[in-house]
Amino acid sequence: MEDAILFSEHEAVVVVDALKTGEEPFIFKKIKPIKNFSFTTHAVSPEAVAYLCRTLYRKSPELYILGLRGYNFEVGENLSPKAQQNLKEALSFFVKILKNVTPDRKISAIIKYLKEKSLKKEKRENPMEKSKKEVLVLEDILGSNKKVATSIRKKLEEHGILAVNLLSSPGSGKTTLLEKIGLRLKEKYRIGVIEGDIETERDAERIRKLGLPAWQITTHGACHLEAKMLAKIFDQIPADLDFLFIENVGNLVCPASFDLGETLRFVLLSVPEGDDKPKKYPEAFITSQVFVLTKCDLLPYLPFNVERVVKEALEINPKLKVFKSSALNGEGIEELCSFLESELEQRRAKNA
Amino acid sequence: MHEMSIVADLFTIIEEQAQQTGAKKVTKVKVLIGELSGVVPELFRSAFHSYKKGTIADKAKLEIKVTRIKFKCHNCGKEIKSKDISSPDFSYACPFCGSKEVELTSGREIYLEKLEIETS
Repeated sequence: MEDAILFSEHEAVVVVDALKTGEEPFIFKKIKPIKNFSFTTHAVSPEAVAYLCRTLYRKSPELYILGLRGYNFEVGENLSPKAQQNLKEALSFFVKILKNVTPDRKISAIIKYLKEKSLKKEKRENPMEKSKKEVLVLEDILGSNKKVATSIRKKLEEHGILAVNLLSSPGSGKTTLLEKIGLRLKEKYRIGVIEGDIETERDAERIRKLGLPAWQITTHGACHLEAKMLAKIFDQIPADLDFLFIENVGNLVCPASFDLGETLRFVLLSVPEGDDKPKKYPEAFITSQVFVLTKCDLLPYLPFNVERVVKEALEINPKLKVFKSSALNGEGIEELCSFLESELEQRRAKNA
Repeated sequence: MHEMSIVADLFTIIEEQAQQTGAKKVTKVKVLIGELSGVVPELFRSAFHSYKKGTIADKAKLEIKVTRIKFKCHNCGKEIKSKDISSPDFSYACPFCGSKEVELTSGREIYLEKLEIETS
């Protein structure tokens, strides 16, 4: 009862005691008035005292328990070293609270303030742990494609195969040109053709009709060939080929970004497409070594300025070798084939 | 629209990096895209944001820096910052000495520059 009077005279009450169980080194928790009286007056809980205080004196001070974890509770025992340590920590914690007490500040507000302060300090000391961190990567996103392309290129070189990657928009005559080149070269050389298309085996069938081996890669929607698509069928390519032609998916944009491990890249442009294309599709022209203008048999019928297109192509890539061709009347096929033959011989001589 | 397959390769690198650095979350991705890389930044962005769903970079922001075309002239040794490729005066040649022995040093790259991650 006298405790209840004492409680009623204060704004905040902290009950301190030793605890036989519970967290180390101490607990500090808010408690609420509870009606739970026992008949032995020796053990009245602080909650019950608070209940009495509220009922009898209409006062509800802020009430906390500071429970220090103890270990030996026999009569005559001194404080064990562990309990002493717990007491020390509890004391320093409690002093911190007392130092922050002001008339208008509740204990709960002080605890919140102290917690925030220690969090901030932790953050200052270990900024990496709780906050965001920047990682410098600087990695080529197409690196995995380039890696596969490099290994394909190495294998081709080992076998002395000259591989040509043909880029153009759909319908500019890649397959027809390949048919003509294939027919002309097949007497003397071993030739293989990889056909890249979104769907169907049509192009591969056209090449096979000439008696040449052809492998069809259907991309099922992808707008370009990637080195790893080639790697999948690479084991089927005979090592004793002289020329491997890779007809990319008809598209003048996307295939330009993907190295396939080819020896040479050809960009084709057909007369009906117009003479303004090189600067509109610069990457295809910049990454190629050879520019083949196809369907030149149509030049008399269409407003197409050969000089302009060649000039523009050379402006963005002065090293381009330019060929004018027509698969229909055979124009330029001989020149293209002799160019390929001499490239093959030069490379073999260099590697020999 | 090959941006999607490039974004797929980007996420392979992001996942690898996240594993190596113990990242719980990737909050920002910064890429460098060359003006001549054939990648359209807007398409790359939309591919990125549709691909990121359900990955470690689920809520990540994407920052794209477009890098300009640069050449080095092998004849006079000068570094050349090129005019815009769509300009009618664009030329793959050295404006100082006229040499065509120039090499592209920047403008074709597609790089993951950095990531911002959360480790806890």
